[in-house]
Amino acid sequence: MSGYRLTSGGNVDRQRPVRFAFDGRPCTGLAGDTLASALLAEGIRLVGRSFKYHRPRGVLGIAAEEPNALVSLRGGGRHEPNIQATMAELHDGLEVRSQNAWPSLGFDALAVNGLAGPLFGAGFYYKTFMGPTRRAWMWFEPFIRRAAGLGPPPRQADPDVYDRNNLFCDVLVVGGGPAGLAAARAAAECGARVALCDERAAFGGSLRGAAREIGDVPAQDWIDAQLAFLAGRGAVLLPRTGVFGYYDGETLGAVERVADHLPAPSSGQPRQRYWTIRTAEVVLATGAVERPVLFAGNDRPGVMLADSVRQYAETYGVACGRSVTVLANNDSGHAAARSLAAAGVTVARIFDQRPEVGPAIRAIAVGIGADLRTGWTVVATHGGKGLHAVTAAPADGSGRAERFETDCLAMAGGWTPAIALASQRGSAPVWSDALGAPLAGVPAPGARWRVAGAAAGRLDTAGCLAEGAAAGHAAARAAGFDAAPSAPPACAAEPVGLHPAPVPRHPDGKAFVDFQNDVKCADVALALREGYVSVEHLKRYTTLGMATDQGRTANVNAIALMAAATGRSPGEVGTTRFRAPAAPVALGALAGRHTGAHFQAVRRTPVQDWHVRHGGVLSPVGPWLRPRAYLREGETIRTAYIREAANVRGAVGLCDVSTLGKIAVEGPDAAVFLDRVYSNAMQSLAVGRARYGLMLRDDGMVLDDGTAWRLSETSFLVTTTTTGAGAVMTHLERLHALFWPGLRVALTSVTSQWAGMSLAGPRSREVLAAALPGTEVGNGVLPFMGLLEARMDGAPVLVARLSFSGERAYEVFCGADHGEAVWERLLQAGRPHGIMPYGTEALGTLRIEKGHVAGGELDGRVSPFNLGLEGLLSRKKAFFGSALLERPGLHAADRYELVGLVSTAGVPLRAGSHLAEGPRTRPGPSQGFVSSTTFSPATGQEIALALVKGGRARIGQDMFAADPVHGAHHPVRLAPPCFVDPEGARMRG
Amino acid sequence: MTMIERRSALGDAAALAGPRLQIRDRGFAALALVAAWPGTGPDVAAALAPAGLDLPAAAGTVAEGPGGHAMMLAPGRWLLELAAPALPRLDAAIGTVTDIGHARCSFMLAGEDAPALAGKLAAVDLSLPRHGPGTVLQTGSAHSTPFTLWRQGPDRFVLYVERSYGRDFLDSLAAEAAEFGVA
Repeated sequence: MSGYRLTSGGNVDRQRPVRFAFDGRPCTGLAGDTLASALLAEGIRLVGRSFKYHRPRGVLGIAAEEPNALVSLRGGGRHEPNIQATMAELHDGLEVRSQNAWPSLGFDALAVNGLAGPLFGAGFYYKTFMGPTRRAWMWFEPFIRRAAGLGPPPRQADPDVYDRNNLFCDVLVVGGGPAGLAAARAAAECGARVALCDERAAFGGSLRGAAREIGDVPAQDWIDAQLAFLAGRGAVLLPRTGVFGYYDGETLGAVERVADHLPAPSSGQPRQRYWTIRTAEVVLATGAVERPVLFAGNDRPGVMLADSVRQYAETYGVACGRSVTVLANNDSGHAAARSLAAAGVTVARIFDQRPEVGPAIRAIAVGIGADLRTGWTVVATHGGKGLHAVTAAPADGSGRAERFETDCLAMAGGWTPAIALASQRGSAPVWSDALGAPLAGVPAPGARWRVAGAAAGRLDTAGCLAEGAAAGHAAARAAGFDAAPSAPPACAAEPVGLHPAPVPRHPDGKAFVDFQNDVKCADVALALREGYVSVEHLKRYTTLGMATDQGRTANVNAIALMAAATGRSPGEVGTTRFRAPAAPVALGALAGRHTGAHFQAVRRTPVQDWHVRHGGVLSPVGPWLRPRAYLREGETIRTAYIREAANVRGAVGLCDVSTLGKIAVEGPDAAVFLDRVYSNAMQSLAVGRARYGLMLRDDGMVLDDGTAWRLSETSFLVTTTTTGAGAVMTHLERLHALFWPGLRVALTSVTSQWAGMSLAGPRSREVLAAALPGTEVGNGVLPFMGLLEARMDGAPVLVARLSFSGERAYEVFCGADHGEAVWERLLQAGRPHGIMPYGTEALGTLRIEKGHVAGGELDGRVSPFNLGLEGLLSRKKAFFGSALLERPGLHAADRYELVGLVSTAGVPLRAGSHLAEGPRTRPGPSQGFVSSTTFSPATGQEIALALVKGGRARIGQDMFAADPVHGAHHPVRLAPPCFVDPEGARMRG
Repeated sequence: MTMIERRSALGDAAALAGPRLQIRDRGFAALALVAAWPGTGPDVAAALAPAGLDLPAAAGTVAEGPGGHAMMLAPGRWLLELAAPALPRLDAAIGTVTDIGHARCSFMLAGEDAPALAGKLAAVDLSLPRHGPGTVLQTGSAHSTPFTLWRQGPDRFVLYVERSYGRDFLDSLAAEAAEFGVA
């Protein structure tokens, strides 16, 4: 043995050293090492400090159950905290930093927390919320925040990309150990499409490197043969892929660590990939986790799980100690001792808590030259930052304690099947007295999983192989594949005698049950004394079972402690419900490509590029980007929109309204259909005319407002608000499909088909005429609400004389691919008339001046009676929403009514302000709220629209716009909602 | 008089290529949605046959005729990609033809990696026969963008995306295709 590296054995490449650094110290491992195995090989046993008490901690386990060895990897934007050293693969140049220690891991000033241990028991910070004064928490908080926590987050942007992908299969096998490999093979032999996932870098599970034979071949050769077979059958093999969630419909989430084991991803390669897996059947071969034993000092570096110690020797060629002591309560500890000895590790002694063991077990100790003491247990450990001795004694207290020199204590405390995914899918765990742990129970109705191998409580390899094959076959048959698979291979029997987890006496001293959260046995007792007798409350009060390891090594011991303390069986205590994710998932993997420019899908109008070239300040409106205004030099948004709006009132403006929702409603029954969905009559709309209308919800509230253009007897173009387009389309499709399927009408979204632009202002007719030479556009041909089909330089255009601004206005629609060119033609034609483009701010200003409602008013809580739009409610026909319009509350005299507001102090008002009758100090109850605000170029005033109780009768009254959040209380006067041309002469002329 | 030209939503950057994958804007002469009323499907098929259009009768399938391709999206609903710019007409008593020629961009994905890329975009099991060559489906991408997917061959896909999403969709396609060496 060189250092702690054994001279032979392990699935590592002894010809390929790998250099890395731990807290700045240069280290060397071998290709195939994990970070944990490499650190152990270097003799580095102190790898972290515990969460609360900053106790020295070392590697405990071998894989995702690891609670102690949490490190930070890499630097800069790739920095990643809280990585289990047991799951991190080694690569050249890997930078590793320990966590939760200051100024260094070896000398951590916050280890003094341990001296104040009684003050920092479970739930201590909850008590700081309550006293000694109400401000006690405010005093404690900075210290607690500074002292607590795991690794620091990265401070720079992550340069890597993450991917999301879909995977479909017939049978998904989770776990690539012996049971999983057997299941995958059996399912593939039956003809099913198989996917096999394992969270570790290589398949094989506990068989990797094991010195045993499967079906007359070495275990590693058998593993390789299964993988080759599966690959030949087209199975999807996903190592480094942890399945973290199991959802309805047999949909599972998994994250593949594509490039975490490399210095950096290659060009175009994602760092991690989130797989959404949809499968017909699932085999959960997720294995089992070994439990620690509870005794004082069981958290000291050098105290490890026995089977993990075995795997470090067999898989990585690393001895975890020069003189190992085994503490077991079941046969697997003895099997581990035998394997260790065969690998060249000295096993000095075995303590077995059972009073007696069988002759075959005794023979193991004899064969390896270990001192076997049955009925003994460890009561204390010794060594500051690394174990160097243990004190052991008869478990029944009948003899004297003795001290034994040892640098590695391998605990074999029993096995806990990994049942998290089955629990996520809805099954209730069932306690097994034989195993001393919960099993997965039965699938919930509709769930299609089965469990095999150690996850089902089978701890012998032969049993795992047989069960796995049976499960794979059953899964394939359930998925519709009926071929018979070959028989599983034979292998030698192993000792698997179990002893039910002994009801632990409350150990003296610091005996830890949850290493990661620093929860002691005493904390469990404390929680029970304070009344937290539910296992769910125990978890929340003590934090036991939380954080990165999800209590894999802690939960069952805690259940046993609770059971013993409360006089219940462990089954009666039960387990907490497992929830996804079963292991930490990077936010980057969840986001995939939905970051930065791809955060959400962006829709562009046909004129988008023109807006950008001409100073348009773009702002999101739903998925669209619309120009708020076109800034000239020295302008702000406010001065720009005032200029643009004034120009519309005084000359002519052009606004891109392509984002309006547009729906083609076509068919012999199109008019009948629209008559039913609009509150006003549409059947009577003549061809070549448009009409403004309201669509209501079934409760009578306004869903959306828009226009309907009748293009022919059987064809309409319906427009909606920009952000209401999707809801309206869904509404219409639902009505047609569910209520009126017999109507011969087709509904087609044509929002993207048409570019739309609003040409508005007193000179708009002249501009239109100039743009359409030879086409008559006068009032006689194109009156208010009229339609006109024409051609602009060969491009078909559809013109509707509609006005949102209150000025004479035309909405010019054309095919989207013609949009930018038509826009440019209109601007060219409008140049002699003073045309300017205007954005959404000016658009809003104009419609507020005119009292036209929009998003601020149409918030889903208003009926036509609130908006003064009773005139749009037909009395001659029923329409969708008409029945509930009769509710008395909608007609109440004090209902909200739309009014205008003038800020009499000349101060801009804020939308959302309440209307109040009283002064700032005694405002009185809210009388309503401000819905939309603007500066009005037409009147020279700050104005707004508002919904006020009984508003119409209160026009002329003085009130206050109260905004206590921003400290505002401004005087306002109620006014009619239309500030400009109330008779409508400007837009109808 | 200078005729108004059509300008693509995708601008100039509409072709991407990798070792085993090509992505390009493929354009089309005309595109339309056809709707039949309950029971008038055969009448619609008969009415469009003279225009060289063969309407498939099974949802999710594609038929080719001299007049273009017809893709059945749903019962009584077809997407037509026409070989010439002119749209056929239907008597309103049997159905409608709605022009969506300006409303869509169309991309071609071709090459050995095309199925893998398509599988990233659409949560659809492309190995199933009902999603094999000669089939069409309407779906959405992980980028929350709806699209129509026409599988022309084992390694050849046509996507129709709403024009207003076109440029953004192309950008996300490029990002998704980066792992296949597309630049």
